[in-house]
Amino acid sequence: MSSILELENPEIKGFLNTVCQQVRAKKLHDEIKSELLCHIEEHVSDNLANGMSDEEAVKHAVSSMGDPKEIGRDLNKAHRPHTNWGLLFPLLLLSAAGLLTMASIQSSADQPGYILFFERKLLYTFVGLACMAIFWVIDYEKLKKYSEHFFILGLILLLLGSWFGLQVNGQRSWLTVGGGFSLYVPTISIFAMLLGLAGAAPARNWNWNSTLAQLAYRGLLPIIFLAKLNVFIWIGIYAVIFMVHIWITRKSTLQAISMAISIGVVGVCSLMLTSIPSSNYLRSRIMSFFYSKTDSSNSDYMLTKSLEAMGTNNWWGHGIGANLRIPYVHSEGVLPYFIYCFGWIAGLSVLILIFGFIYRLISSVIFIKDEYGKRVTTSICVLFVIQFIWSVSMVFGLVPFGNLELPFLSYGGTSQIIHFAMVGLLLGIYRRRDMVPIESTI
Amino acid sequence: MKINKELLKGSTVTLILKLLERNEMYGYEIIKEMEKKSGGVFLFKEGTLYPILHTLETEEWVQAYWQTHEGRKRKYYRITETGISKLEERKQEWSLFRNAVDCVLGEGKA
Repeated sequence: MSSILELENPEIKGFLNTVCQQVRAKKLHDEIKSELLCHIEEHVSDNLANGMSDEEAVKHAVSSMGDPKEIGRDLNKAHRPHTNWGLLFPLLLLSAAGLLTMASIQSSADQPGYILFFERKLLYTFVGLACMAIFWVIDYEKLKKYSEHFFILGLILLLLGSWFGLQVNGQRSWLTVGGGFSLYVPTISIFAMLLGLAGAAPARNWNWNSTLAQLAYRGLLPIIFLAKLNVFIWIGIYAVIFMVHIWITRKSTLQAISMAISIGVVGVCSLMLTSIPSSNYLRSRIMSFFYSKTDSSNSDYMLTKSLEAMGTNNWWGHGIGANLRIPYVHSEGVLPYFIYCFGWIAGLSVLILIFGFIYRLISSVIFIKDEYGKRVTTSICVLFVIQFIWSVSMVFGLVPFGNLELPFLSYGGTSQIIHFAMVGLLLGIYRRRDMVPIESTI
Repeated sequence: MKINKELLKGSTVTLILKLLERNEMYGYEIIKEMEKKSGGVFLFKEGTLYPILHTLETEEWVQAYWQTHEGRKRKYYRITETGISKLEERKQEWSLFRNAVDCVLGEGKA
């Protein structure tokens, strides 16, 4: 008996359809059907060999499978959606802490009050939550075919930034869009480019020519474009994301290491030659970190201020709306200000939430079996881990001050919306972790 | 004598893991092996095997892959490292349980 005949057999067809009606993960229907059909086929041919008639053989094979409804229900349970509460929970609490901090800044007498930090942050939070919901609900696998578009979009945004960007703090990275709103280019374009990377050709398929092309197009070009915006911290973050992309899709360890070395050497050389000499701002920041005893530049001042604000004996804080003169109180200075206002007890709770979030990010990478989903998750994870750890470490003087905001706590603006969107994407991938057919994981 | 369904339910996972520890198998093969090894005592509704296999797969105790064999596409299952250590746990649990039942029934060595 051929499989075509059996698939058309109404009894078998009815059985398979009843099973699949119970399974909500529609993408799995084909796989479940062919697996069960294979079982029934083998049983039928054994039955025929035992001398049953065609009709009898099919009837017996189907009836010994059991109740299709029950099988379907149990299969549905095995492939149910999952909610990554461990990611969602710290995110919501951190955002609440961020809103509280903005309210505090706004009500402190020291602030001129012409920026409505709280109202703006509230707006960004709502827009961000909406974006998160969208990315959570949509099927992330549909994004895969637009990978190349995303990557190009990221590059175009960087170019637009370097041509038309507003210069703030030495960075040329804000694009005004009207209505008093402006887009922070680096976060948006890195989000687009990491989506592009996740669907790009894996490093294990690269030959000599494509290796050169990939390194130039996906490695060097974004780095040069980012350098034009003077956002050096983002160059580092993008470089790490790119190297991790090579690492998780590598052919061999040797390949990954040699790529990392060549990117490092070429990247550093080209930066040295093109950008760093022209960026006094960056130079002073780096210098002040290494020679903090003698140099009293911006960054040194920032660190002194931030350590002073947090204090050592400040357990309960100075209360909401406390006055504190610290530069960039709404962005880089947000953690020192938060601790100044609400004390170390609250500060430590926030740090615990941050580390809980990071832990959950890293551990959720392991759960994702689908390759595309895993690559997206890993890149986003790298971005968040660096951004969180750097922006926490810098206020304690462990690393130089970079133009880096603490996600969800800082004022944020467009970056905050992007951060929410990224978490939404992670939640969507995690949600579907048991709902993708194995064929797409190979 | 037919075995009570509930009695079999608790140990199906252990039995499946044990079979897969020896060989990579597809569903129908597992059913046949189980029937053969147990002398025809372990008979259950064949379809109920698949939800169990799929759950084991999502827990990553087993790994599944498709392979074409003589023109037939079959979904094979292989045990993972996690699966092997879980099987060890289950085996110890079972021998403890079996001894305890034997003791209470008055047929044990103790």
